[in-house]
Amino acid sequence: MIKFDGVTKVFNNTVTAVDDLSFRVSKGEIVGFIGPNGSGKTTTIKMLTGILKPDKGEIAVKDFDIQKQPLEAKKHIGYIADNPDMFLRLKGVEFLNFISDIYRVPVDVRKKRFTAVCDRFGLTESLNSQMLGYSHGMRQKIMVAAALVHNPDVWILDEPLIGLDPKSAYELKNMMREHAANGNCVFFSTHVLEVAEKLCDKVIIINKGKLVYSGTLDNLEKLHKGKTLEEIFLELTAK
Amino acid sequence: MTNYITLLKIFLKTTEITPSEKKRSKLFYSLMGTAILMLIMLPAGALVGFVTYALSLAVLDAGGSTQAANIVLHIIAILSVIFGFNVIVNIFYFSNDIENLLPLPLKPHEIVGAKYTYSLLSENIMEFILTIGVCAGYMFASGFSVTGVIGSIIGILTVPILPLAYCGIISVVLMFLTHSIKNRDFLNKVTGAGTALLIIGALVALVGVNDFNAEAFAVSVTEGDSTFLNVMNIIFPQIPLLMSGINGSIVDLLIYLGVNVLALAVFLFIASKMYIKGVSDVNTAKTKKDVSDTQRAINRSKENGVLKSYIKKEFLILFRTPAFFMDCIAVNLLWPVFFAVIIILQGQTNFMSGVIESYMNGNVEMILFVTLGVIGISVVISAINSIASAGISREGRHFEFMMYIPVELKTQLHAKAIVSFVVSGSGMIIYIIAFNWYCLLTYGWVDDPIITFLMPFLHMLIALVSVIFASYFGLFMDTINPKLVWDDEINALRGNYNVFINTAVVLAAVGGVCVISLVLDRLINSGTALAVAILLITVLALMGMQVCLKKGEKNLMSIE
Ligand SMILES: Nc1ncnc2c1ncn2[C@@H]1O[C@H](COP(=O)(O)OP(=O)(O)OP(=O)(O)O)[C@@H](O)[C@H]1O
Ligand SMILES: [Mg+2]
Repeated sequence: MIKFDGVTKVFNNTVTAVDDLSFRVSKGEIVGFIGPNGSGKTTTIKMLTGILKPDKGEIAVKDFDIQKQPLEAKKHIGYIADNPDMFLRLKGVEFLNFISDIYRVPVDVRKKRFTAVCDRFGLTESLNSQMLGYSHGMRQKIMVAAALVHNPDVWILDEPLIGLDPKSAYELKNMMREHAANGNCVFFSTHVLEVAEKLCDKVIIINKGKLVYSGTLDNLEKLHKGKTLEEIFLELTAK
Repeated sequence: MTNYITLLKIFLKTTEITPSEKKRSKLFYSLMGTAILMLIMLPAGALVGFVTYALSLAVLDAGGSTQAANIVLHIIAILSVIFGFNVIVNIFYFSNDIENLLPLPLKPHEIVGAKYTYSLLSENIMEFILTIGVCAGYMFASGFSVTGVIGSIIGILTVPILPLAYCGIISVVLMFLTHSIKNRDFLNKVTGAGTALLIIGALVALVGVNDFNAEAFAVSVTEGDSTFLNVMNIIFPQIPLLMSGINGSIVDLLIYLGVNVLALAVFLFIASKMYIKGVSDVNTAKTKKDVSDTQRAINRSKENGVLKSYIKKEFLILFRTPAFFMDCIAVNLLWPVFFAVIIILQGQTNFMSGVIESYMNGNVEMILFVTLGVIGISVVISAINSIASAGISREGRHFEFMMYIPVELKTQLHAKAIVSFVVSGSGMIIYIIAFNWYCLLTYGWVDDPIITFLMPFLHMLIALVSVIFASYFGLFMDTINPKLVWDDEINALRGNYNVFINTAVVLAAVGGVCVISLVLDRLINSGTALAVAILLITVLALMGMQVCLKKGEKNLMSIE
């Protein structure tokens, strides 16, 4: 579903934020994208969603090249940025309708999805007021609702759990599992190892823009016998 | 004090558009922008100078002294309170840096003082130029002197202090008194609407002034019979003091400075007592706790086309964001005021009677002039409201959103240009109807369907074509170097040089059209000139659209 082939991104001809990165994410998988601060996670995700152009390499979503067939590729993506402060002057329901129009979601379908998300996240009381008055967590939840309104094949999340309370985080993790179980894939960045451990089928670890590990966590533990995940992670990203 | 200076430096820094890369081109950009800004404002300064000069001559004749200059300065002061208030409220209370500043060990008067100074420095170029106009106009009438020049320089630099201090005091007190109301975002709307009302009020007052007579005016202000002047002298006591200083009284000049210092002291004292309480919880908007309300809202959901939905979103944000509302929507209300002034002048001096007469008689050359006027005004209106020329800058951090949604950038550019087209175009249609109506009223009905029906219709079409040009081209200009990094909505527009550069470029293009058709008017005939003018603006509109959609799209794709 997601294909990265030899992707490199250099900022201002000096900072190599992503360096010859290649990986795959397949149907039904939840993949955690792990790396320390400044390792290039957000940059990778921005290239994947078409916000940034890679300097080298190819990126495809559902076999659509993000450069050559951007609209087709983007239609299959649901994306949650690392900052949910977006269009705060719109009411939650206005924002969701706007997004639904963009992804051409029929009225009866969107109504059902709005209601379902409201119930699940407890947003029912505030959907008809401006998002300016939402807490960080509420804004994040609206972004989740917006990203899923067209039931995308590929769900991409940048640091999704920051600022969510335990119940909402639990709900979000469940939603990610369900989404993957329904034949889609989920790709999210995090630096919280425990989350990756509980949630992911596979992890991709990068450091300074370079791939350092790609595979299951079990396999990773086997490779480094006798060490905790934390120790392995620190070791891998030490340089 | 050092805290104050550090804060001020930071505030000024964030409005600059100089990230490390491409420093040279940015510097060039801002120099160009400043130069063009000056060019646009100089005519306004000159006009104010001339009015002051003419009125001062009449007043001096009647045995008065600085009364005319006082009145002009009072009007400028009123305008700067009206326009400054919204800016001050936003910068003091609704800007995004507040949440970061409050936890720091800063005293309230340091924050407020730095924010006040910042507003004073960044918002007052216009007032600065107008004040130069007044001082120069007065001294041309009364004669130059050394104290006059020194006093003028002091005055030009310091005269905005008191009006802005008023804005500061009012906003601090208002926010203090309403601190228990949770959602004070409505205050922004209230002040926006209040400003609009004041402008409309001014409009009505102006239309009421039908028998303005410079001599009677001079006599009444000289004898102290002008209620307006007497009241304003109390509200803005620094202005008569300043003018008296310019007239030679050093004592009054010193008192003038004293009054300003006092105003600042009072303002800072009030701020130190009331600011913190007023600013806390300011961004907690009201959240309705109504389940059935939400269910109803969900059930009202409708499916719209992508373009329509995008346009709707643009309008909602323009109208709901106070800074955008002021600078992009409310600013259009200045035009009716401007046209009303012209009509009043016409009522006084009949300077346009010849124009109207030959236009109503179907004189082709006059029709050409009016048409060129329609083109020029359409373009200026679209450029000044900056809906198009800040269309990308307004997105700020949301720019990424434009890139990741599955909507062609062309469609998004269309949507943004259409918003500008609707606002500016609808204004133009109203003004053209008003103009023709006025002509028919003053001149009487003519039995020429070309003049009574065809020309208004044609002018509307031409106006719309001109607005298309200005909208698409303005939007294109903003794709070249949009200002995407800003903390506050106000900064997306003010200090955004794209707006000025765009104004200059579209004006130059339209100026070219005018020159070409006026030359043709001389060389061949007015009919040809008119046809060519219409053809040229149409070509410009089509080209503007092409450039915006093709090159503009490329520009956006290359932004990182
Ligand atoms: N627009 C930009 N211009 C220049 N350099 C950039 C830009 N965006 C990111 N970088 C640089 O690219 C590198 C990777 O940044 P990125 O935001 O991808 O990291 P990250 O893994 O998401 O970090 P975090 O965990 O803090 O979110 C950093 O060195 C950063 O300074
Ligand atoms: Mg990041």
